[in-house]
Amino acid sequence: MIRGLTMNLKAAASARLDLDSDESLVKRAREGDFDAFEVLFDRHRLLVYRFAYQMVNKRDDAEDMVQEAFVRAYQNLHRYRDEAKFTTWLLRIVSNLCTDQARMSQRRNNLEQKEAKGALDWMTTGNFENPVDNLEQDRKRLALKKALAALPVHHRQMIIMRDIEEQEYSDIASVLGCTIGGAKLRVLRARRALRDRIAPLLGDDSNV
Amino acid sequence: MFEKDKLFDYAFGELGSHETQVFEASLLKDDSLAKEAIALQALKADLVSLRDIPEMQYSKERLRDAILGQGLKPTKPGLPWLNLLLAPTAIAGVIALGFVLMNGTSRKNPQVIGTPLTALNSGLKAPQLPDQKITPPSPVVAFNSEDASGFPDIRDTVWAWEDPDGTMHSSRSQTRANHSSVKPQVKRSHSTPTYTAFKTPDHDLSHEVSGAVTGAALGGVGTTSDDSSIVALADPSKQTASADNPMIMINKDLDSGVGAPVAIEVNDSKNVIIGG
Repeated sequence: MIRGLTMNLKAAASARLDLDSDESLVKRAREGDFDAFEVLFDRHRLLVYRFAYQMVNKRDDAEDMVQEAFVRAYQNLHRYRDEAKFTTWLLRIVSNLCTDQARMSQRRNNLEQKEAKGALDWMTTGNFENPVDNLEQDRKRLALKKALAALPVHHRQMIIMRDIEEQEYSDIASVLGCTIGGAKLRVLRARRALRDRIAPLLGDDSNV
Repeated sequence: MFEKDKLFDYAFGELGSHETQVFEASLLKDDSLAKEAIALQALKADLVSLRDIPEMQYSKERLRDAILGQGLKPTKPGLPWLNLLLAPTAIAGVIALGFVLMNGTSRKNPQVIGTPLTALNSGLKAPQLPDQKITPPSPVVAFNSEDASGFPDIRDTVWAWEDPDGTMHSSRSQTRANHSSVKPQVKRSHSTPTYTAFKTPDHDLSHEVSGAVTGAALGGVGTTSDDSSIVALADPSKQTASADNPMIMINKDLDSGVGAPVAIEVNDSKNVIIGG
């Protein structure tokens, strides 16, 4: 009876935490309430993971980045200001991490690993009913991944945030610390750069 | 250029409904632009297809281990007034350290402009004597100040020089014969008078002083400069002088009348140290 009552109370507290705003959860976490921080993690981990995965294209690396991002967030909770959204602040952290990681991995990545990964993608994706279509789709997809990976980090971040994850310009501007107009301009430049890179990879049949 | 920007906005769905209609109307007139718009729309669709990513396997427990396992805690905000207080102190400290380091560096490498010997001889002028050879550099003679009574008995001043044919000449004066007028010198070389032992026609002192005066020091005068001088230097018994066999030393000071270095006859070399 008492055990059941305790469990109900815990469930009620957890539900109340889930309904709380990010700002109030951050405030509790600052005061040492780790459960509040775990609710924040549950709420936003996919957002961070998706961005990290698109940047590094490897699940293990992306998960490491998620951990690093949340550890940094936890340690720097006092730096978070309530005027920005918590997700924006998180994305800024993971964006900086990705920039650092991209700089390091750019040196050590070799062509063979990319080719092997591309071959695996070709084998594991697509519809078995239309192998010819699949082949063409995979070729395009592979070309797009290559072009995206070859973009400078700041362009890649723009494409991921706006065209893949479909973030609002206001959020992108907050992450970048610029105006909405500035964010639009950066996205446009990134798209142009992507178009210029993917055209040779797709061949002459494409006008892209 | 404007059309190209519009083309991107159109293909990526950035235009409003009215702008989209206007732009589509313009696309009907330009086939190449329309073809490019279709290609960009396909690119946009391909980018959206990249949203399919493997499922995340990172759990809340792993994060808890990462954070709490390392004993991490959210850091407290610092005290801003403390920073304001410490910043000027730190800046002043850095400036002071830089000043000390720069001062130390300038003292570490003094510029050598001359050796003590050259500084000693810089005041020397070549004596205006007929056909004189090079005056040798003077070795330094220091007197034992602890025994003032044993100060050398300076009676005469002897001028010595050498002719090109090797003949030695000397002249004697009494200008410094008064013992009481000469104060005992401190044994530091740069504060003591400097003397050079010479061989004169009357007093062949080579056996007394050759050990004390190196061949280089005596080279121009022609006393012994062989290796035995090194042995004599170590034997103090050979450095003695007496009234019958006085030691003649030449000061670095020049005589105002003759212009040659001043020589002094010493009868007792007990407290005389000869060195270079």
